[in-house]
Amino acid sequence: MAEPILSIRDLSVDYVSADGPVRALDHVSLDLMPGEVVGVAGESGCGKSTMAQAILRILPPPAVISGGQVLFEGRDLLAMDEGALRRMRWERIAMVFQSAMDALNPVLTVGEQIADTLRAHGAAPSGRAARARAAELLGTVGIHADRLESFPHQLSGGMRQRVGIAIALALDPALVILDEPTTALDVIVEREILEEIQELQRKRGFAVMFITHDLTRMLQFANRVAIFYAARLVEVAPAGELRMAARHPYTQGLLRAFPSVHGGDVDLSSIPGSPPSLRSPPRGCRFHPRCAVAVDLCREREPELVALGPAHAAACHLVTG
Amino acid sequence: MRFILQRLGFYLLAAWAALTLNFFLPRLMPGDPATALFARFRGQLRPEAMQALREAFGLTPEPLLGQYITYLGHVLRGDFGVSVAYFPSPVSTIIGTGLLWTMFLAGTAVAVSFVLGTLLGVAAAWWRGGWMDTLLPPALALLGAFPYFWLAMVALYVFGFQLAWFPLGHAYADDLTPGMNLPFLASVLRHAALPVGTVVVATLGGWMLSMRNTMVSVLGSDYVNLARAKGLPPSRVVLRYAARNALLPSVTGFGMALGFVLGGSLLTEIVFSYPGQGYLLLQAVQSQDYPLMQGIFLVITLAVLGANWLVDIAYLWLDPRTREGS
Repeated sequence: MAEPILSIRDLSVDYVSADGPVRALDHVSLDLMPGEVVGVAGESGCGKSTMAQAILRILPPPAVISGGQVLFEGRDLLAMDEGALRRMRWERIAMVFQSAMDALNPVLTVGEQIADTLRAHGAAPSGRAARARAAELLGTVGIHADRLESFPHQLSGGMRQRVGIAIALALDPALVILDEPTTALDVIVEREILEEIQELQRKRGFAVMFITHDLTRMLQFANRVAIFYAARLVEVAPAGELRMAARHPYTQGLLRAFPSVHGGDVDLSSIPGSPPSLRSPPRGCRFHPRCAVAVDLCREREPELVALGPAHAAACHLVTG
Repeated sequence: MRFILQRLGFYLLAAWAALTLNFFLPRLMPGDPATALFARFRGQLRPEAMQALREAFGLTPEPLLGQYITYLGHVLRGDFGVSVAYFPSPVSTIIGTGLLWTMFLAGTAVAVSFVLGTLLGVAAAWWRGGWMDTLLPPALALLGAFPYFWLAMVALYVFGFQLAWFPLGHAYADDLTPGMNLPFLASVLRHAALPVGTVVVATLGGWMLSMRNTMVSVLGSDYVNLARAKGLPPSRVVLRYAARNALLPSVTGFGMALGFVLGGSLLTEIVFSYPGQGYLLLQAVQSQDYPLMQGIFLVITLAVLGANWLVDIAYLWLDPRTREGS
């Protein structure tokens, strides 16, 4: 079997606050194969975006990475010095940010923001070459080159997110992290953009970590899916297997909360309650207060992630016995 | 372009309103300045002087509207009447020299303070929690909290009188003739050092803190995060992405400050006997020189409006989002 391109090992992130640290990501381990599309899903505040930013080490304070490793092509990004990390950023790992509105610098033109990326990595020998390449990149996401001179506020939300994708692909990265790339967009633009990303992914073959809270979209796009709940990874499985045979009660609840793409005749229902505060997570399994099938053990001991098949694992006392 | 003209139109309207107020306010007061002045001299002035004073204030028997039009005409030609204290010099010449010195002194002080404070703010936010971020703001806030005149007098006493590093007053040494020669310019700089220095010390903290705070929030924004993720060199992330955006609110403050210092350098100029506008205003008030006071108030108003217009133009250049429809 091939070596994973990205291997997250026991990664933990804390938000330092006046009343002590709040754990936003708790001992998470996850692998990505080259060219693989892995979906990461969970409710808001479950640690998905925190993980994405931790991989690139761009977590804004007061968040601190408190433990673990992020092995990318065999090298630990967390142990790398700033200079080496800077070259690694974007040349190998790129990211499309959550909010199309706020991810572009309002005072620089779109062209400048693509060109400075190219220039910073020596990917364009001259300003003219950088412009030509920037125009070409805009072309690949369906934006006309005369938009190079536009400022972000002159573009629609969808166009801005396309620019974000063009910037991400500028240096032909091996891994692209999509952090809820379509959250701020309407449904039609969302579908267009996702189809475009899929198309580009098929053509160029980069690996994708696709973060979203929309399980339906994810199951269409991803090869493998990881489900997060309250800062922990609770289940990971190939997309097809997850859809048909999810084992964790939380995943099952999530699946029931989204309409099926194949129009299966299932009643939609939401999971009662809301995610726990990370400041004081419940004892035992973090999902037990909302779990319909919880037993005494769930209230006392925290379940470990246990393998259920070649690529399937879940953290639940009931499935692991 | 249309935006600039629109703003210019607005400021012209505001200037006209200020001129009109300047005309009507004295006339709304009971009595008139000429009578008040005449009374103050308790018979030492001859009755003919009363008539001269009334004319100097534009208090002719003409109807109010006619007076108003004459007044506007005079102001447009730069004629603010004749100073009482410096009789018979016209107000415009007196204000002219004072204005130049004030523009030099206050302009330098505000510019130095703004640039230095902004740079310190950028540095403090970038190395958040470092010594610059923890020590400087409270120290500068402390200095800024002293009454300015006290700070200025202490500086004058220590550096001017005790140590004699700097001259005690005036804009240049008395034995020099003003002109574009090295000794004169050097003397001007030496004389400006203490007044400029004290203003900078007193106002630096404000600029630094406001820039630091905006900078900290901009540093947490998605586009700065993206800039870092893109692997841009730190200098570009700080300057082109973070500071460039954090500067915008400060520029508004800079325009306001620039306008207000033209009138507000009063204390500096009094402590350092600097022949600027504030010093003139003090003298005008002490000698009941109404034409001079009116002229100075008008110049201050116009300076505030002009500075704001310049800031509007600078903003247009700095923030593309304001360029819409232009």
